[in-house]
Amino acid sequence: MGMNKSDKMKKVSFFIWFAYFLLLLSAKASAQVEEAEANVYFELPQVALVDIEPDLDNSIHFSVNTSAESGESPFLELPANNDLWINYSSSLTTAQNSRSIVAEISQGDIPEGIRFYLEASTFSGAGGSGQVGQPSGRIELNSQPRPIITNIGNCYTGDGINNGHRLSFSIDVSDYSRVYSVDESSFVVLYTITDN
Amino acid sequence: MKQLIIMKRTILLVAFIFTANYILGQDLRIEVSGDANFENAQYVVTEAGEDFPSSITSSSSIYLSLNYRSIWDGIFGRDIPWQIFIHKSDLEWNNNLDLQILRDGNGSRASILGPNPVVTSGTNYQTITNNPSFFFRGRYGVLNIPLNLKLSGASLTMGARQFETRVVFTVYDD
Repeated sequence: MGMNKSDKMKKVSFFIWFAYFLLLLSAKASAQVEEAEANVYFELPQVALVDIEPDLDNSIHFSVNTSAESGESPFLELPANNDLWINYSSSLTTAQNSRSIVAEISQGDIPEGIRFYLEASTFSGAGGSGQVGQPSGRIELNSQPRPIITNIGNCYTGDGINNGHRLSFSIDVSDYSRVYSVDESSFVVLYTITDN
Repeated sequence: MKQLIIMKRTILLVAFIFTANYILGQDLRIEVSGDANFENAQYVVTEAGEDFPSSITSSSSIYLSLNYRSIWDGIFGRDIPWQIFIHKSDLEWNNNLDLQILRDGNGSRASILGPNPVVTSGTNYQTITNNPSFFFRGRYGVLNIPLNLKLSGASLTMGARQFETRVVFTVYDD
């Protein structure tokens, strides 16, 4: 039993309607939402900076004076400037562990028979954040770099005095027999922030 | 006679299909172009103890276009109300970073003979979050709407790393 032309046309008409509704649905769906993207990227660099504050006069003075009484040990006049602060900024890559600040006598010599010490306080100040370093305690300074602050991570201490670590200096006489009279002796303490 | 009626109906339906395709299928296509990086920014610490500057603005812009799909619309234009939502999808990010965006202009019309587009809102910096939020809306196709990005919150405490996020613009019928 074959279909007549009228039936065929009805069938064609049905499929066209069906296709029409499908198109409506798909077209409506595609018209509602479409997205476009833009990638935003940036890179933060490594930073390793150290500074001594207040910067205007970072010198310290000490003297070894003779005692008033014969037979007594020389009188040590301790450093007058005890208000130096060390500031630093540090950021590391993930491959790096931490940093340290080392100190050394870079120019001049400490007079013979004298020992010179440096101690960094624990971190203080409101201007910093992150993994600040840990002080290494009282360190005798010489021409070899020695760590005074260790385990510095991604951090900043804040700038200026009362931010970071206060530096305290002290001296003692290691060998009286080697203490000679000198008019004035000066030396330079160099601070370096280094990768561990 | 009956066949003629059915034939007419068929022709009418075909015409409807083309009409429907025109009305609903020929909408706007959203595109983004330009460079959206902050590589030109100077992340520099000038004084030991300090952090990066609190806010760094991108020196480059990106452009958003809503172009007509049909050639017909591209010639004569068509009033299609739309709205843009925005969100980001983080690839390598830090929650303390604040990425903001604003619309810095109106762009130009996407049709040759059609009316100028209408674009409103989005002219104040707004933070891009991970959840879609309304950005701006308009009518008609529009090309090269300039967008400006501002990044703040970068800190030394985040380490020396690369950060990346994907900013997603979604266009809806308005």
